[in-house]
Amino acid sequence: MAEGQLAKVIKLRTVVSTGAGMALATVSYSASMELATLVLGDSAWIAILVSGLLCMLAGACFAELSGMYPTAAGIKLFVQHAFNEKVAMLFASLYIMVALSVVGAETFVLARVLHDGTGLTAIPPWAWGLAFLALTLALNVVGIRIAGTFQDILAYSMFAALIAVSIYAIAHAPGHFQAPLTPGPPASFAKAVAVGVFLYIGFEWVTPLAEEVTDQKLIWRGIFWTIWLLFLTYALFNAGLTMTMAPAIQAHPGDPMFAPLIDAAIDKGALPAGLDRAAMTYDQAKQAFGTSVVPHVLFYKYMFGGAGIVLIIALSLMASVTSFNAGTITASRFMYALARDGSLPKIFSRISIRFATPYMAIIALSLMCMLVSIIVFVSAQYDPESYELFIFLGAFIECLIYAVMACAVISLRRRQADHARPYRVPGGDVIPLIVAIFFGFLMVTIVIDKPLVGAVVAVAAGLAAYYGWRVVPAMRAKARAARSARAPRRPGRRPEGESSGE
Amino acid sequence: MATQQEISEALADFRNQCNENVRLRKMQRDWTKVLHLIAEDNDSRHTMTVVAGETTKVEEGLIGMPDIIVTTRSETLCDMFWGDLNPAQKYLSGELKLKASQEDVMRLDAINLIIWPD
Repeated sequence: MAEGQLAKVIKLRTVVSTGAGMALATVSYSASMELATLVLGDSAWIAILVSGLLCMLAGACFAELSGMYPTAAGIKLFVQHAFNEKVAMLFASLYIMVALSVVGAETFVLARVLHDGTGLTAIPPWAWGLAFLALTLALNVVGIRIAGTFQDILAYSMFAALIAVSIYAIAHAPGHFQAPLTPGPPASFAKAVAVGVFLYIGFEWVTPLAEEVTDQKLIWRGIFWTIWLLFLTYALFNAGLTMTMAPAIQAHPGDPMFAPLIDAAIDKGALPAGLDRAAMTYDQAKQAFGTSVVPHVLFYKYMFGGAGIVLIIALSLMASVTSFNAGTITASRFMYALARDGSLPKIFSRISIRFATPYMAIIALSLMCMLVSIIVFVSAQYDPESYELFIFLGAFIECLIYAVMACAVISLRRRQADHARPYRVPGGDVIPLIVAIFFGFLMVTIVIDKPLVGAVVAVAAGLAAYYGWRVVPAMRAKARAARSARAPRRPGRRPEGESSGE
Repeated sequence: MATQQEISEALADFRNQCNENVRLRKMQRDWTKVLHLIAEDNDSRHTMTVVAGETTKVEEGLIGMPDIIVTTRSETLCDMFWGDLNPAQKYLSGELKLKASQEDVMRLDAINLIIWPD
């Protein structure tokens, strides 16, 4: 038996189902429509492709780092070795913020899907959202997780259904592709690419799987196929959605399903006040449809009636469950490890003896998720599309993380030139540099369009920096003092720092 | 550098600590795993077998197909199994490398936490 072989290893199909399942959430459908409104005609696929290719380059950087340090502690460890621990804590905190902002937007959209789709309108959307979060919390605390073959079946069924319905919609669309190669003004296109990055958020969560594979190159192959699967799914979904719904709105602007959308688009200034509804252009119809929080529900309802609603509710639940399950489990284990390390209060390292789960970390994470979700629901009272701010917030921090990872690759190639690298990004520093520059550019694009995102990240980064620079060292010093007061159990153990005769 | 003998002694003590701890046995009641412990700075190799929460065997050498592989310096292995070292710190600094599912990685640390609470 070769040293280092595991009895049970994860295969490529599970790496892809984990990464793609994490990335495709219910909010992705809404974000996909948001992206479509930023470009002309049916050219959304170009923005999705560009953001996918950029994410793939960022994924190559992740794969090199993950090969060097195959651990679930991933991002913190990469940054720690490339820069220092305090910087690592800062980015680890921001990374948890990505998860929270995605959860906030995701819960909001899923709640709207369940509210609008089931027809149980007596139950308010926030109740659906909180019920879903409470259910996720309970499943996590008792340690029920979707994994292995079941996760593969769930994820691939979801992608197969989405792709099949999208192809059917394209084949039955009343018109042809509208301007598929002309995305429009560069500024809008850049913003569309930034939203496109949000569609892929989570693909890099395959790096914690590095501990469960024996061939580290599998991580890179997993990222590669994950991005392609997501591109194919989003591009087809987007084309099917706009090619079906835009002509439908053009043909029936007075339809009770469409008229409120046109009104909403006029109210928010996306369409002119004096719009001639009977002569709407394809792009104007798209703008109207883009005001819907649940465009996918309307799309499936329009296509298949009641059966379509049942199908999209099922697909939305599958998308949310696969994202939440992997996301909260990984994030709560990471919080537990940080608490054990002395970087978070000790209370978060409490373990349930009955279920063998870090229940305090799970509860804390779930409460934070609920808090963010409540903020989204409250802000939606004033602006129904305010959840989009969380999409841009997630995209901004994710761009920041990708840029930092690219810098970490460059830094580690100099600081740890001799370290084994099972996978190395080809072409020297060119690809990491491209990643750092492009994602830096996308961050600027987002902040120009949504200055509030920059303000929120600045405040969060300030708090995280204060915590990492001031609070953590104090907690660590206290833990060290407690530990040094305890006599070593190992017989004849030498005092710390003394040579052990190596 | 800790010798094979020193690591064996640490593991023997660890085995007793695990098997005598009622809370741990309760938590690990459904945990059956084979662990390979590899010292990266010498030839020390050990296999630990856990059956339904009970550490049944600690043997020298690598035996059977493992569910968990722990790789680190011999000194770290020794200190960790004597309970003198917090494995989470070594794990987060990259000095302790694990090959296992996320669940097993956490359980491994939880064992340490339950036997030797901070």
